[in-house]
Amino acid sequence: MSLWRRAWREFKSAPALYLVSTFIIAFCLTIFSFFALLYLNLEYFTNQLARELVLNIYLEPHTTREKAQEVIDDLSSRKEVAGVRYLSPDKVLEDLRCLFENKDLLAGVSADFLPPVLEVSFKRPFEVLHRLPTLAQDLSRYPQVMRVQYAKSWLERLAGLKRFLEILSLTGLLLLGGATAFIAGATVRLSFSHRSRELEILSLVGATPGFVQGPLLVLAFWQAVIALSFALFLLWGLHFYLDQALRGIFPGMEAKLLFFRTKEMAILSGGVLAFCLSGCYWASRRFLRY
Amino acid sequence: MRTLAEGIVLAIIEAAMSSILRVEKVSKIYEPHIKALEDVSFSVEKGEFLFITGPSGAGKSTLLKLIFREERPTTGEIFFENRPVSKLSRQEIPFLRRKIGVVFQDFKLLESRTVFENVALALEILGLSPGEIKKRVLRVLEAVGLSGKEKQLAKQLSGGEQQRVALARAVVNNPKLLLADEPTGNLDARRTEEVMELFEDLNARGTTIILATHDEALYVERHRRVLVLDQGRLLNP
Repeated sequence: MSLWRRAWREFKSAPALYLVSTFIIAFCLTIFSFFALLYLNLEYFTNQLARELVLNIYLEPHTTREKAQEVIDDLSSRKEVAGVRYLSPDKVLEDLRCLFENKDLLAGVSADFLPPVLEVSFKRPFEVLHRLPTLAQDLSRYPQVMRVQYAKSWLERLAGLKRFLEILSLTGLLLLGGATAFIAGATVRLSFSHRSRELEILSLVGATPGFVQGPLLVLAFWQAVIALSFALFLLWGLHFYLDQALRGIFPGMEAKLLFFRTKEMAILSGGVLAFCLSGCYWASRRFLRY
Repeated sequence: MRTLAEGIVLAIIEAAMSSILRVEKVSKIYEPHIKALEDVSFSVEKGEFLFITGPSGAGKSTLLKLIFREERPTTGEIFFENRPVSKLSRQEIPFLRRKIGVVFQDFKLLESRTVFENVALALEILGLSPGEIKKRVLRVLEAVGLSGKEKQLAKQLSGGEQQRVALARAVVNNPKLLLADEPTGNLDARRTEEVMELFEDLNARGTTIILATHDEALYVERHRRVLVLDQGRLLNP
């Protein structure tokens, strides 16, 4: 009898047990991956926020984009810089109008009155934090540059907040991961202890470990695949809902929620598969009498 | 002086009667200090029908467990077909067990499976075709008097019938050695005699049998070798 048919027969011998344990694993996995997603988004969000805050270079009035090109080229050549955006006085005024609800505050302010601005964002804003004073000094030597401003105190606070969130979510993730592993592991072990007699008898009448464990591993593989698909589907739904709900919450910022990228998906899938297969292997091995 | 023909005949007889099992100075101690077996030595010839007897707790079941490598001796060695059993690797143990049929004291049947499935288990692991499995299972069920009961669940059978299913499973793959641990413990006198006839029949067809029992009635008047165990020691090595 082929391995697949034996696995199918194995499933039919205790379908409720397999379905319940798959559901428990899926449920634990959903909670774990939700917090993993939360961590991912918190990290992304604080980085985004830091990028928005990083560096504003106010240019001399009437400096055109062409004249500012020298400064833009200098900045773009630096490997830590993610992007440089030129904001004309008109754009600066438009942004200010978006920012202030009370339009009277900007009454009489024309574009001519405002300087053009270069907005500089960094690839890893928190890592360049300590280099910003030197960079500001470097840039001040250009005649087109009127003033370089960076929100140092805000950046430092944000870096602290990021670190706090990192520790909090990583600790939570670790605890949750441990709890998930424990619950899923206990489920697998319990389902096998229910079938311990069968495993024992098979090994005593001369079945090889491969013969006994083969179908169990096939089922564990499918359990992992189903639990993972279920968890990711549920999480995607949740992500879709939260993405809609949070859109537009932070004015002037794109509050887009991230979902797992290929790398994270691969790590999660690999981890779940490895966990289910190794859990099944070791839990069933306990009952074999070799 | 022997003639060549005599020599060949003697060699054939010697080969046929050579020992299938050798137990050499085997002791088994369970932690902390329970001596289940102590310095037990004996050998079993091919085709022999050997009884091991002794009171409960004498070490009969432990000895059988050591023979088919469910457990390992603390000291000493058991040789099956001249191979040391305790040195077999995890991968080799199943192949030893396929050569040794065991009728367990508690039957070890899968209660939610049918009689047919229970017996077929020993053949499925050998990778035989479904047709061959069906043929052999039906044949052995007929031999143990369970024809027509193949679709019944094991848990629906009486103790005696379960005993016979266990026997059928133990012999369906024609093992070289059959171990039976109190195989008539749950049977009435008539069923006991039937089961013993089955053992005699199997032995007549060449299967070596070791039967552990505390029931003296099973081996008196059978003119078979009987080993007596008491408190883990062999009284008549």
